[in-house]
Amino acid sequence: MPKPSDETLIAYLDGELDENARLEIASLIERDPDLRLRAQRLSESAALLRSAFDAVLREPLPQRLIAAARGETQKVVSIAARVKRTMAGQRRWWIGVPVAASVVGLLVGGGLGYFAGDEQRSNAVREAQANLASGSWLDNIAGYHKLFVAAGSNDTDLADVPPGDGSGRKGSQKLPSDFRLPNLKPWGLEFQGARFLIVEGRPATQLFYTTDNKALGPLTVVVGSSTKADLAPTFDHRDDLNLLYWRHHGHAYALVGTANIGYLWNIANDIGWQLDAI
Amino acid sequence: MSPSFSDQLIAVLPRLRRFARGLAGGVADADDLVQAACERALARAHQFQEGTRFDSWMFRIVQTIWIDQIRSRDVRREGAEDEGLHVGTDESVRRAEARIALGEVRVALGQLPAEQRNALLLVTVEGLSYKEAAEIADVPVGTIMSRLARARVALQAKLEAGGALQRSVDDAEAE
Repeated sequence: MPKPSDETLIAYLDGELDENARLEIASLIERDPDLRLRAQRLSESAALLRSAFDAVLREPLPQRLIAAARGETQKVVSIAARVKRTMAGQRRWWIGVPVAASVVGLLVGGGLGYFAGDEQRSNAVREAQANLASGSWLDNIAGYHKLFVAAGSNDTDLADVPPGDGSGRKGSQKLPSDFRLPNLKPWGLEFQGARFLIVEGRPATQLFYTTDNKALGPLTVVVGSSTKADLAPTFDHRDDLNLLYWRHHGHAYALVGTANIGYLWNIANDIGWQLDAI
Repeated sequence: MSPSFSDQLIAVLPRLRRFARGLAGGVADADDLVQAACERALARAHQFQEGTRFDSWMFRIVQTIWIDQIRSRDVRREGAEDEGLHVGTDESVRRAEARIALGEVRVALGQLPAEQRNALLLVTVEGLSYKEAAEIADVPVGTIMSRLARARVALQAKLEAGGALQRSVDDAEAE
């Protein structure tokens, strides 16, 4: 009997041949060392291929995929589109920013940012809050950080609180009276403004800093109140952004930026010392 | 949306991610693919036939979106990116070699034509039968057989040329 074709041999290895054909190929393999070696090599490459992807099964599932499976991202897309429409022309810093994708990224998080003023926007955001309260607030602040970087620090409409001494006022919102603005000038980081957020259902402030130091890059600092238990500083990442977050004595903190975790850790220690946060 | 449908979807997510990782190459692209598939599945949940395999239905959706993306972008990746190759932090030489070998497998897979890669992932990685893979790919079983054969032979040749197969065998023998 001639040697089996590749198709037949592989079908044999995959258990796809009927009983007669299987016995026939098995007999051939038994008698032919070359064929046996070929079958062995094909089996090994298949096993190697399976091994190459096994690790994927053990990876934690991204929150966004769980949200997608629950149908939550579809609501977000719809809400984000509404927010985008109502915001068009009202905030010039949105121009040129990949709004739809970013807004989706923002709203997927449970801690939703909000924008003062427009009632329609507020309703949309409140709806999103209600729908997505269980999502990840880290996605939210990472999304805002990207918007901030994309918009540029010269656009004063970006922040609810403009740069300066940190006590600026805009609309009805202001920094809490007992809020202490971290001074990160020793790191070359200049405060560029602040935005108010809801993090885990509690008010928070997202502070934006920029620097000429390319190794450090723009940085977001989030300070908010929290009713949850203390949490040791924990690293995470979103795409190319590194995050470090922790909770301490009724406050939640987070750092977001492209800086490596060493930088973030040291800045966190500095903030902790300044705000007695760690 | 019925909780059971979403539950099924969540349960199959790890395998969808693995399948998508093989198709798309990178982690982010693969997860985008899976997310799009979830959204499409939810929108078309009424089309799923009870009593049929849910995972096969989802594989088909992932595959369809992926093909659409390829067509729209007119892109075929020549070599999968290395983004998802992290298989551990052990720094021993053997571990490192194993990692390299697995990385070579992914690269070799990424160099295969799209339809061969698809067949290989469905049958060899996901463990579907030829018939099930043929239904997902919407081709005859014979076509799946020939695609698989070409893919397996090509993959083996690439791995032998790169030395990954030998390192893998040595690693197994060492254990």
